Amino acid sequence: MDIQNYLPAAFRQQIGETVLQGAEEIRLRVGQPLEILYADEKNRTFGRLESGQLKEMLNYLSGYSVYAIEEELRQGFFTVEGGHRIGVVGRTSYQKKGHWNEMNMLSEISGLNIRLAHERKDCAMEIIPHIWGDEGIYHTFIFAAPGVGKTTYLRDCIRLLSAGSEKRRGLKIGVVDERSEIAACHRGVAQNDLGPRVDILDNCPKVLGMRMLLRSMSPDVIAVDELGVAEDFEAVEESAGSGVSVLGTIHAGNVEEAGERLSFFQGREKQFRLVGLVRLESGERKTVIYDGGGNRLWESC
Amino acid sequence: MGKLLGTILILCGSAGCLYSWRENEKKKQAFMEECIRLFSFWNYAQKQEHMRLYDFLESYETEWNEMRMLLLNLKCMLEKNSYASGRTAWQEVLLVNKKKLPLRGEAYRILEKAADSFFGNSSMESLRCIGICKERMEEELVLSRREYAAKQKVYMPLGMLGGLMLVIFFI
Repeated sequence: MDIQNYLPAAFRQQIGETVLQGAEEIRLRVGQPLEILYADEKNRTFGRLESGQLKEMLNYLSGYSVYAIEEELRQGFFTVEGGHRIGVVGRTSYQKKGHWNEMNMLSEISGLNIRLAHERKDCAMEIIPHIWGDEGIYHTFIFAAPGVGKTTYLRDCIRLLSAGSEKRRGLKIGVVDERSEIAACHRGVAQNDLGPRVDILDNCPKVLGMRMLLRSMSPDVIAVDELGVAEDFEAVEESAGSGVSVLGTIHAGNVEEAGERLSFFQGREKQFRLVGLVRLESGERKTVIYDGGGNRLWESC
Repeated sequence: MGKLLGTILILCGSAGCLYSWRENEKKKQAFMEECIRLFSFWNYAQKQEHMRLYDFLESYETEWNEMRMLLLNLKCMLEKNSYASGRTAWQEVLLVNKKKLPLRGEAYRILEKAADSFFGNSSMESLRCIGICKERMEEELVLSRREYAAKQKVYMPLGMLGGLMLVIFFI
């Protein structure tokens, strides 16, 4: 279903397909105008949103089954058909569970953020030859500032590696999709094309998922998005030590910053590659590939 | 000869009226049972299978065409994404199909109120509503059966006697 069909009826006429071309996010906040954010960092606003319209939209997004997405609402997001991810905010209630506070319910929803899924097939085509080594692929980490397209490139890398080519066999790839952004599973079905040899652990914490995949699915590669905290890197180290290649993304502004995060690879710089993404003023992406020591190996024109 | 024919016609008419009343009552009760079955299935689908409404509306199996049409119409209406609230769609679909449904009075009102069991704000609210609607429909069914038995005792002899009286009157 097209995303405009999920919008409140009062906005549908104003927001047509042309308005949504190049859009990355649609933000809805009660009492505020509906805002559309574009890839070139421009934005457009429409009307003013009432709380009833937000409820209306939640009905459309959930297929009039809000009860069925309660579990996802507790985590603050859910995915709809087409792979679009819906972030939700509102009034939360908690309950004590042992030493932890666990979210019980999210009610009185006051804002939605629709992150429109973008599949850019073959965008990572130029990266693939550089991450293949003699015995398989290098541990590869894509780094960039937020919003540049790390996940989009990661997704395409997975697809290309999984599908293989005439020269190279397809690889078995285990994907730990903690925030349902890589495969964008909707009711267990991947909405994005990740190729034929992919095993997806949807909505699973990275550390747990990587260990599970290692034990159960004998993957050639484990792919994860947004490595951030120390535990994530410990799990990466563990996987790398088990003979599995890791394909991941890291929030980092430059290669030094990314290198610092991967300091546990010291002495094994030859085993990994870093892929830097930069968004140019024209809106296009520039790709730079570094070896583990931070030396530039290749860059796109 | 004419009198004999008239007598037979009147007696057949009386019997026909009684038969039709009995059939309507039976149909009404059977449909109420069907509504209870719907609530039970919906309760299970929601609680155990976390089934979404669209899937339930499409997959619910029933021998009642009226029920099947009602649910499929509702699904079609919802899929258009033009009803801000599902309750409005439920009430509209009931209104459109009202004449086709064998329910009247309180039983119809219970079905109308079942909107909250489909479109509750939370699973707790929906499940609670299903429970209430099921319970009320069961009570209504018991009442309806009692009423039917009581009426049957009166209507059957009264109907036949009325017919006989008409016959005597004409003769």
